[in-house]
Parts: sequence; C-alpha cells; structure tokens
Amino acid sequence: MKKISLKIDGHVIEAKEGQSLLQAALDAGIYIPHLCYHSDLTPLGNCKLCAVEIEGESNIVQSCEIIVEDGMIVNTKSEAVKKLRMTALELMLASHPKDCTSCDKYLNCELQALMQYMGVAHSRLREIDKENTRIAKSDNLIKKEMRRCIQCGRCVRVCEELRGVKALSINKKDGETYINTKGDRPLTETECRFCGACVEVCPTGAIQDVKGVFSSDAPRNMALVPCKNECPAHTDIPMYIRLVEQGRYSDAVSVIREKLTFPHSLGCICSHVCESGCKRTHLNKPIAIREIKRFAVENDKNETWRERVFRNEPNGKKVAIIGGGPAGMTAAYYLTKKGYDTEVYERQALPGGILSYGIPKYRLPQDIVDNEIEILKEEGIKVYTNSSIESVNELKEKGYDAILIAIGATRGKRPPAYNKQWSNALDAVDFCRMSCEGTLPKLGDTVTVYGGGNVGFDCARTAKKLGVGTVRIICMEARDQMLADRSEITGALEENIEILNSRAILNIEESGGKADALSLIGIKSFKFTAKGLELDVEEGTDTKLTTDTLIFATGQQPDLNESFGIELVRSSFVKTDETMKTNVDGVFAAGDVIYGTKSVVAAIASGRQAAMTIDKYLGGDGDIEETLLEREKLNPNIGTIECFAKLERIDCFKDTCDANAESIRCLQCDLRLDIQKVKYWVDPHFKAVKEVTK
Amino acid sequence: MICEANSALLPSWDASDTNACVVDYCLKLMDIARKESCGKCVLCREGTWQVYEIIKDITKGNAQSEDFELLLDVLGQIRKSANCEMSRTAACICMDLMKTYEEEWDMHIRRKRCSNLVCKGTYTLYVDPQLCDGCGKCLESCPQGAIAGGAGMIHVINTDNCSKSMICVSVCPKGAIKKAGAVKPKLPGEPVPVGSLSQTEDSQEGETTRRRRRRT
Repeated sequence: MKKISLKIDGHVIEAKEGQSLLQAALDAGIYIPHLCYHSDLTPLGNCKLCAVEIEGESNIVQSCEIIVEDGMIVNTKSEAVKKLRMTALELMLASHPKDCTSCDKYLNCELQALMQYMGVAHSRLREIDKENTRIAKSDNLIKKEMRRCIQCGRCVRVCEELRGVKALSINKKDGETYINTKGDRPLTETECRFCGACVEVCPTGAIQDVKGVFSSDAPRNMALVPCKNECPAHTDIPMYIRLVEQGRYSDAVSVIREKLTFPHSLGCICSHVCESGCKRTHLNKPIAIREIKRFAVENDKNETWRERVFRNEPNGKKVAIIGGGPAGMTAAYYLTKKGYDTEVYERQALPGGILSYGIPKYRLPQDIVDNEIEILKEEGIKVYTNSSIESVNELKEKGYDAILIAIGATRGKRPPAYNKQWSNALDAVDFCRMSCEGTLPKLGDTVTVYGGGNVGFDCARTAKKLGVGTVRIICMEARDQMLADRSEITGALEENIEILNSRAILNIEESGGKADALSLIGIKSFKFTAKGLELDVEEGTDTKLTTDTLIFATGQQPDLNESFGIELVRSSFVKTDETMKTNVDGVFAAGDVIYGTKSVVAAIASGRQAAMTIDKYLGGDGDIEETLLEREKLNPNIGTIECFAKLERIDCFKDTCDANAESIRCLQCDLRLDIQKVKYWVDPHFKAVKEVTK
Repeated sequence: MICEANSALLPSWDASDTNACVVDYCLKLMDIARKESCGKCVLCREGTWQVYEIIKDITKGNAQSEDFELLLDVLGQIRKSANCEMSRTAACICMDLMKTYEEEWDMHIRRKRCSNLVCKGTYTLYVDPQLCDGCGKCLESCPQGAIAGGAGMIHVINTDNCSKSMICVSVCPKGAIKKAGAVKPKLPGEPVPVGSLSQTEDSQEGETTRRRRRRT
C-alpha cells in the first residue's frame, strides 16, 4: 500500500493511503481528542473535538472526516481549534450530570478523561435538564442511565453498521432528541441480539452492563465470555456453538478437543457450570451447551482434529500416573504427546474412574467411555488395570522421573455418628460402583438415600430403575436450595421418587446389625461449624421411617492414609502447593484427591494443569496448548433473527434442526472482544510520536 | 442519518414591526432551531439549546453581565462549524440582530428592560382602575388565581403570583389589563368599588411617571 507523508504539529509522520487524518495521527502516537469517532465505525464529525487546521484551508475541519493527503501540514493545537473544542465539550457537559463519583464508569470514562485532558470543568454555560433521557429503561442485561448520554451516536452506529441489527436510533419527542430503541420499545421486543456492542462503545456511563452479569475478578477477555470463563478448562464455547449452528460438527469437535479429553462423555454428563454463567440466563434460559457438545461429537464424521494434534518425539523420560480417571488419563494423554513414556496404574478392571464406576449407565453408557479411552490410548499410553498402588515408594523404585497421584475421592464419607457397619447401609460411591459392576446386593422394597446432591439422585434413580418400590431422598436443604441439577430433581419426581426436604436424620435404630428405623426431624436451617453440623430444628416435627436399604450420599474423600508415603491434609487429601507438587520431590497430584469431589470437567482441567507442571518440572516448556481449528476472522455482522429474545431453550436435540435452533440462541459474547478499545490520552502509546526520519 | 432540518423553517425578523422585540424574536428563532435539530452535531443539538436557555434568562430578566459575550462566543462557533445549514443560518441571523440592535440587547441584559414590553421578565400586568368595570371575567380566567376582586369592584392583580399567561388580557371586554414596565402606576392595594378613584389622582400619577422617566 502506498505510504503518505504528512506533517502534524511539526512531526513528519507516515500514514496509509485512504486513512483518516485522525486515525493516522493516533497511529503515529499523536493524540487528538475525539469522542464520536470510533475506529470500527463511520466517522461523522459530530462531536467537534477532533478539530484541526490544515494549511491552505480557511475553515477548521474535523480530522476524522479528512482523508490524508501527501504533504498535508496540520495544526492540531491552534487557538481557534482549542476554542472550538472547549465550546463543544462545555456544551456536552451542560446537560451531563456532575455526580461523576456516583457513576459506575467513574475513572473509566472517556468523557471524564477528555475533561481532564482539556482542563474543562462544568462551566460558564447554563445547565440543561433533558426530559427524554428518562424514557429508556434498563433490563436484566443492559443498564441505562441515559441522563449520562452525550448523543455521540456510537451505540446507534455500532448496532447498525457493525452488527446489522438496527435496534437503536436517535429518536425525537417534543423537539428533543434522545437515544433509545426504535419506537421506545423494551430491548426484548426489538431486534436486539444482546451482543453488548453498544455497551462496549459507549464512552460514558449511559449504557452499561448490569452488575453481576460478568465476573469482576477475571481478566476482561475472559470475564466478557462467561461460559468460557466458568468452564474449568476454558473451552472456547461460543466458537463451537457457532460452528454447530453452521453445521460444521467436525470443526466444532476440533475446538472442543483443544481443551477437553472426554468430549462425548462430557456431552452426556458434564455438570455444565458454563450454562450457569451463560449471559442468556438473564434473558430467559441459558444455552443448552452440553447438549450442543454431545450433538457435535455424535455428528463428527471427519474427526479433522486428528490432523493437527501435536506429537513430540519421545524424550526418554518416564512418568507414572496412579489412577486412570478423567484427571489421570488427561494428564497421561498430554504427557505422552509431549514425548514422555507414560504408564497409568488403575486399581479397577477398567480405566475411566468415575466415568466407568460412578456415573450410572443410564446417563453414560460404558461404550462411550471405552471409546474415548481408546482414543486417548492411541497416543501410546500404557494402562495397567487391576493394579492397585499402596505407596508411592513402590513406584519410586521403578525409576520414574515423575509420579502423578490422581486416584480421586473413592471412599464414602458419612456423618460421624453413622460410621457403623450396618449390613444394609451403603455409601453412595460404593453403591454406584457396584451398580456399574453389577454386584449390588438385594435392596428390598424401600430404599432411602440421605443427601440431595447429584450423586444422591444417581443412587435413587438407579434403585428405582432396578425396580425398588419406594425410593426416597432425605435432604437437609430446602427444595429451592438443593445442590442437584434441576433436571435431576424433575426427572426423579417424574419417576415417583419422594424427596423429603429440610429434614435431617436424628437417630438410626438398629436391629440385628441392620439400620432399621430412621428418626427424622424438620429443620429450619443448618450449618457446618468447627464443632460439626449444627441444626436449627423445628420442634414437633419428628417422624419415623423404616427402610430396607440406606444409602449415604453425604460426601466422598480419597481412599488414602499415611502409609501412602506423602503428606496429607484433612485426614485423607493430598497436600499440594499451588503448582500441584506434593511434599515428595517428583510426586504430583491432580483431581479430586486434592480438592474433593467437584466434576469431571474440573478433573480434566486439573489433569491438563498437572501435565503442564510435570513437563516443566522435567525440563519442558509446559506448553500443551494446541490449535486444532485455525480461527477465521469472525463476521461482526450478525443481523437479525425474528423474536430473538424470546427463543426458547431446546433441552434435547432430535435432529440438526434442533441443534441449529438452539445454537442460534447464543448471544455470541465473544464478538465484543473484537471491537477496538479506545486509547485514552494517558495511554503510553501517546508518550512518543512515531516520526519518520528522512 | 441525514439531517432534514432546513433554514426555510426559521421565521424571519420583521424590522418594520414597531411592536416586536428583537430579543423575543431571537428566543423564538432559537427555540425552533433547537427543536428542529436532528440531534447529531453537538453545536446544533446542544448549542442552539444553550443559546435558547441564555436568551430565555435574558427575557426573564435573569441575565448575567457576561451573557452578551457568551452568546456571541457560542453562536460564533455554531456559525463557523455546525454541520447543517439550518443551525448555521439561525446563528447567523441571531448574531446579526445582536450587532444591529446591541443597545436593545444591552438594555435587556443590564437593565432588565424591553422597549416594547414584549419580554415577560420586563413588565408586570395591572388592571387600569379607570377602565375596569368589575365584571369579574379576568378573575375567573386566571389560572394562578392571582386576581382579587368582586362584583362591582376594581380588580387587582397580585404580581407575585401572576404567571403572565395573558389570558386575562384576552378576556377583558374593556381592555383594562395593561403592561407596566419599570415605572408602575399608582394602584389600589386591594379591590375598591368601581368609580371610587378620582380622575385627578390618576393625572397626578401620570405626571409623577413622566418625571421619573426623565430622571433615569
């Protein structure tokens, strides 16, 4: 492209042909104040702040509207220019509130920065109170304080030009112009796609995100994409939803596989914290992200991700991994690809951990798990099943360069008073394992599950499916505070499982080595303190129940003790530092064994982290990131979709139409990151002019 | 977004109208300009409104001493740099009239007076006791309830409450409601029977008025 040379305030700079004078100056590190200008939008020359004088022209011009010409001599700081800018800014401030400190944009406001740059205070002009700024109303996603609006029109332009949506316009009522939706309708009744572009470009506090929609403690590029931020593995969720919408299932799987090792299993059973972060929740219901993932994996015909997977040459180092669950297998997968000779010791007959021995088969068929394990093993992981490791010292002797403990939390944890060996009482983790193995004892006609988390529901629903007549769940939480997924609760109720909320077991009567009758009491609240569980009981609500089988779904802990040879915390958890190192050199830990039961996806993220840490420890770069799909530049023009805000969630997809219809509901939060950030005058970029020396 | 505002909408100043006030005309001119503004360019949207507010203060008798210069300053920027022809033209007209009738503007700003008693802040309304026949029509019409009186009594306007809606002026069959500038005629403090004020008193009052006017 032809380079153009011009002189601004005595500095000779180079500009690109066709560039605006303002952008050329900004690029060269010369700050010219501007407000209605945004590099992604058509310049309008409305705010008058980017005024400059050009030699040979009698009038002051707006530099955003002028195209650079070779040999131009520009003055950005003449008295006439300064006077015009001052007047323009004073005029804007005349109708702008003065309570800067009470505005959420305080210290992050372009208008405020400009006031400081130009030294303009609220001034000699008359204050103007605009009536129509009261018209626009906030909603669940976008907070409007239109009295702070200076009508720069950026929001209107971004919505129209960049997004092709046109939800906003400059309206007029009683001779007063104001910015709002077309026809003053609520955003949910307009074409709005809730992409947040208007918030992104608003220079003042007029249009903002509602507080709480985005996390405040994550970096901006993560926080603005809440699904990706919430996902423990930070999967690029908006990207694969977009690909599914386009029917590009193989590409979608490539994106998923960049971060996840068991995509098909996760598509069935993931605890999907991504969905609880989903911005669309505030509009109606979150996107069915898990179902989209499942659908993509099941319709991936080409497995294109395989072509781009990195594989390093063997480096001659050996790593042992104890536990073939999601964390262990994930770490093994990445370490093998990094060139390590990786060996997994699995206590059970099958690898997969909780996927094979915890989650009921009606939720996750075993062949899905087996298939995904095979895919991982293709990289060359050696898996020794039925191999229980009792102490790290056993492995140390075998000459491994590093050892990873990823044995999960496989021992049930009951309230201390009930740690008796009743023959008809089981821990949920054992119940689930036996059910997966097909080794369950006779359950009788009544099964009572104590604990209302997802595991409790797994037990109850498994028992029901096995034909038990009466299945009940006793849960200390009230119905609306239960830890289990909504879908589990409704599913259980449909299967005629009783859920007894806000109740605790006070006492268990035993007869003949069996837990026989349960004394229950209603509770108003409960909390766990240093002394143990404290109940706020509701007097006179005692009841008694008898049961044939009692299942404790009250927590899990690792099956570890001191003889394992590493330092423990909280009696059975492995003590690690922030880099997952244990107290023994070369021994690391990952997954539930560090932090207790969380989720499969958290274990996968932990396994990835462990792989990075171990690679670094053994002299590698610790980089396991891979780009399995080269990203194209995203099309910012999303256009309109009929009744977008009202589109209902589809929980289960029958066909590609459903997959498409659900994917299209996505608000595409990630698009907002592509909008250029405006640099303030204090930006280091403007500290020195990039001058051309001849 | 192309502005459709057009200077053809602006009213023109009739220099031959001896009852008009140039400041009042400019107020109306800028009111139309600000309401016609498409809202995009800051000088048009905020500038014409600001000028309107300043002139409004002047017509209300609330001007500040530097307002003339402030107006010229803002209008000058609008004339030079506003995006549309409409607001540039309005600013141009306003500035020309400020220069041509500088004395009248100065009188408005510094002495809160309007030669033709057009600007609301520069006059009060009163009921001429010689003309009022106590019919009570004005009393009923006043939206502020600022007129006191009764059947057969000369009505009296409480100028503190009067909003100068001018409704009483239009309903009075005798044309008895009049404007008073800086010099106020002597009036009864409260309603008195029609005809109880003598002609002589009035003519004396007239002379006082003339004398005072000469002094100023």
